[in-house]
Amino acid sequence: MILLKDIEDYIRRIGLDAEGSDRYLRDIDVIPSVNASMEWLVGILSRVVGKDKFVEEKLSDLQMTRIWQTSALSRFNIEETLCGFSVWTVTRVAPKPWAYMAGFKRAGLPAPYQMTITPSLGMSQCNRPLVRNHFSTGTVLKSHMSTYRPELSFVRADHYATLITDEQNAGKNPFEPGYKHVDDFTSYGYRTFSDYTNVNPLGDSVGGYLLTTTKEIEIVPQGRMLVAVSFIRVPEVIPITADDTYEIPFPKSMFELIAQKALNYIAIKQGDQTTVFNVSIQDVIQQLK
Amino acid sequence: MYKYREVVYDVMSDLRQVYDDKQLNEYHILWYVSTIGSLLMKQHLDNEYARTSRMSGRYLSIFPDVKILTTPTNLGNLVAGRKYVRLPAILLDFDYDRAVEYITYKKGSSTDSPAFQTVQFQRTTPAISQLLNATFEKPEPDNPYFYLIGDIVYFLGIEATDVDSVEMALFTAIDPRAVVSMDDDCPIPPHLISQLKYQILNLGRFVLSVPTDKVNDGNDTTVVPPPKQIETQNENQ
Repeated sequence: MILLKDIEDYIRRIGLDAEGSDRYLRDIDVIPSVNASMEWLVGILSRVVGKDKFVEEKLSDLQMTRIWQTSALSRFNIEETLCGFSVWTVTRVAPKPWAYMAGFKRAGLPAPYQMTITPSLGMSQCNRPLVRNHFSTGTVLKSHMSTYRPELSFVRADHYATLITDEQNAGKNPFEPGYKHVDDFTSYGYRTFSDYTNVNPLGDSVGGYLLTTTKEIEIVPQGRMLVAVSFIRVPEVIPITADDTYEIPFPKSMFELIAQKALNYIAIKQGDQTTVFNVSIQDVIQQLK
Repeated sequence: MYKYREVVYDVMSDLRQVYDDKQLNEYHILWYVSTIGSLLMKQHLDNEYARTSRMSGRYLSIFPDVKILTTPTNLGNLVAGRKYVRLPAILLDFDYDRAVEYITYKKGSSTDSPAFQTVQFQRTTPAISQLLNATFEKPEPDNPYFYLIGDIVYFLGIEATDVDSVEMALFTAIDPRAVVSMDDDCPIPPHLISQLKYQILNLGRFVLSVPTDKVNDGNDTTVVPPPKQIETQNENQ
């Protein structure tokens, strides 16, 4: 994590020589330029991440692993608004993971859990605790509904899914991901986000299903199961009211790049080809090499 | 005996050393292991039979309770009314159906008779059978026969009995669909593993290597023949 205050100090003292001055204000100049710098960084790094699925430690502060429960149609949506984070890119999908649940006991399993659980390691881990209700709304899950599982932590997985394309005929070819063998020999696959919902012009009584959030990831072979998803979240926008303790979710190694790019945006805002513009853009290019 | 986990991941690790970007899953490697492994077992047993006129029980599988069935209508290789069983595993293919080591049934109560006090079925084939020509050849409950049609074993001589199951000992191939866990025993003996691995890696090398001129790079490589040149006569000649 990088303190916003450190970047601000760097911009004022090193880049602008404006320490103690009110020429540049935090809420009007610094925070918007740092936000723009982070957005630019997300765009630049997306090309690398999307191509190789390789996450350097540069993004370690943004990596998360969370658990969802798929619908009976083997799909789940991340419901970013309810979960409180946005997914930048998915880096790993692990079907049927082993999960840690605080205070878990096999006997006397709470009512919301419907599946027999296989416990392990001192009854603290399990691999099939499916629930009947949505984690936020509490509604009973219909066959097309999935849910986030905030009470579980990922421990390990026996399977990892490979990304398959929409054209791959998963489930027919025994040598491709998605064909159902016995558990040890099943290769799982996942299709990336797609909108499967449909609005029936004749009315809701017939037709496809509707969801509030329409981006779903599909797992093959199909089934209602837990899925652990590792992903990089989108760094949140720094609020204008951020104080000295606010931290930017990038490692220290990215400090120079973010600060120089923020400085570059301030130079652009000043509207002239100043020395700051040329120096900062040269530094950014150097950092990206 | 080694586990499939060791054999499969050994081969997979080696293939990934060379083809790290290829999609290889555990079932695909198991398929290779089963096909090459079955070939090695057959060669091993063929050699043993050629030397000793016997085949070791090392690769024999016993199915103690295979249910006898009948069908009311003809369907494919099934003939209405005949007693038969379906082979419970894939047979290795030997001359004269030698992959069927024996088929027996127990007379009387199955609990009070010793293990080997059983009636053994003699092998025959529909093409050469002349079973009614001599009295001692006639199929009877004490002298029953079997013959093989595809994966169906028909019985002769037990039509009027209430025998409902038989015991079979078969030399079987490795069926990857019947392997239920990575921790199942792999029937290939340790001394053949190196040969198995060598052949699979050779097969993998052949399958996974695509000549560069066969790779679709999206370029139009259509060869347009050059325009035909019109020969002009040299005016000086």
